[in-house]
Amino acid sequence: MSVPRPPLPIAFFAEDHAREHCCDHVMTRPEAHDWALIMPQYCDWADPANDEVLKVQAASLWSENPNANATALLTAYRTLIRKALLTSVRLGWWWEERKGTFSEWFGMDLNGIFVIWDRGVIRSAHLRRNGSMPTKETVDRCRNPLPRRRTECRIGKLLAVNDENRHCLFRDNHESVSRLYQTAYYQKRIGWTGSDIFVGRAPRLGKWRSLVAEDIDAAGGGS
Amino acid sequence: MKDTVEITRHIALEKFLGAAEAWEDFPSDSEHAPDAARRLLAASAGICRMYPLNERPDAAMCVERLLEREGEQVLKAWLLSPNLERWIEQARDLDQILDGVQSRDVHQEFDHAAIDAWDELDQHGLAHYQARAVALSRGASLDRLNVLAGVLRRAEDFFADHLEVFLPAAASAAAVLASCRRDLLPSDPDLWRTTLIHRALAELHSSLDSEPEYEPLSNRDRQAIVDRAQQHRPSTNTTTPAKSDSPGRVRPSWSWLSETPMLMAADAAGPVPELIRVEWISPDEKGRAVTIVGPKSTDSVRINFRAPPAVLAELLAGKNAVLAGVESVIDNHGNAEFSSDSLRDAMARGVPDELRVTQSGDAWRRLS
Repeated sequence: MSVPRPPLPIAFFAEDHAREHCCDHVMTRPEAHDWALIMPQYCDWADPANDEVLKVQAASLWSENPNANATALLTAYRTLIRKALLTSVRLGWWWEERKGTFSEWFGMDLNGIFVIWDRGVIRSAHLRRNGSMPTKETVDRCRNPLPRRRTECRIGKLLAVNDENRHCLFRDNHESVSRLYQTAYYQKRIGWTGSDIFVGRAPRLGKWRSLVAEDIDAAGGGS
Repeated sequence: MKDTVEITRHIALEKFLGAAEAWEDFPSDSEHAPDAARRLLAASAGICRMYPLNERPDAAMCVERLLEREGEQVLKAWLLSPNLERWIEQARDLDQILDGVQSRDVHQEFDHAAIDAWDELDQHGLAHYQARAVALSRGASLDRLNVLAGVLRRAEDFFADHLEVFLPAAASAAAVLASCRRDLLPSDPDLWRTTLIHRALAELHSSLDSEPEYEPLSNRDRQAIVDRAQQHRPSTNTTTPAKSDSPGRVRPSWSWLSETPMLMAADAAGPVPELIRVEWISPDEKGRAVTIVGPKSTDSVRINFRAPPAVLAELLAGKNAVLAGVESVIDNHGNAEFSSDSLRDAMARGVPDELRVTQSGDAWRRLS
């Protein structure tokens, strides 16, 4: 029996949802450091190692006239996660979880971006390695655009953008996403699965490079 | 689907092989080496937990030889890896958030973070065990190791005091336990000790009985139950609210209390309900009480009272908890068990599902 292809939604539930995710993940350190590894132009739009700069850009997204750099970051984020979803489906790096009649899909791409989606919308997309937890209280984004940033936490330095560091990011995220798959498996929540990537080891550096090159070709030369 | 033990051991082997590749990919002085070393040590101990020496897969034996050759470099790199101080901070964050989780997406995010945190604690325990074995075999100093052991103990203490935070990982913990070699305790008590955190979590999970062990009903079966129930339904239309005996009588909201699985299915308009979380908040809003019920009928309903440790110790532990007039006592862990039969009796008599601490205390407000 062939595995049915998951749905391919193109957008978050709402515009605010996309902005929240961009602030909570792309612009919140230390996860921002990891996004800078996979977003080539990140440093043109913001300094991923500077909390004040990131806060200004994040606040701008919630203003009436977001500035060009903040908008560019949000647009790049949307593009990356849409591509991540397509790559995860193409490679078979996804699984479905069912609760009654409700299905949800979980997938990962070659950058390590973890995407969660349902039939209609993308619910979340982030890098698990250095993610931060939400706060308990309801947040006023205009006053605190980066509520997940814990200033008391020590953060390492920015990593150089190279294949080795990108592969490490991918491998670390593969390990984390695999844990989630395995937990769902033990809890008997798994429906369809695209492949056995999440019960095996991550592709090694050389193989990963080939897959990245194929991915670029599959996307028509753009990345 | 493969057997749980088979798949768990397969995953452990793949982890070991992947860790060896990661170690080989980086020079021992690279910034990634400490993390690669930790993974290799942890994965090696993970294999030892599951297989006696003479039953280990051939691929695992090849990696063992790598560890024997490069043990000194692996140990040196591992000693540079971060300790668990950051883990303790993050686990405290999770505990803070636990009681306030409202939206589904945040709940899911919390579950995922808890699963990560649980696994990280297990990995550190395994790595520490294996690092000690390597250090002893090579006559290396244990000073730094002992410092790291102190932090590991603090992390494990936090874990033991906050088991409910890590409940999302209970199924994985049970799977690992089921896959460990049967002779682990007598053959290697130190390695067996790394499974104590699995046992604690699996025991909590089984005591909550939160995972129903049944397959969801098909539509045909569900319809058959509805048809059968309608044959035996009392002539009174139970969907019509009963007349009040006195003005202002509140209709009890007991929808969360399972009567029998069959009746729940018969009354359900849609899919058979799964886990239901019921939560109350204290009058001063400093404490929460939570119970999680499934459609499977149980002898008792456990309610967990959550509050800062000082409040729990001074104001709750040892006190009577009263649910719909049914009494129980809150233990030192904040748990109170109520007889399901007594609660159903209260429900049948129309007593509201009000929760109080002591008979004279103010009612705790239902949040869900």
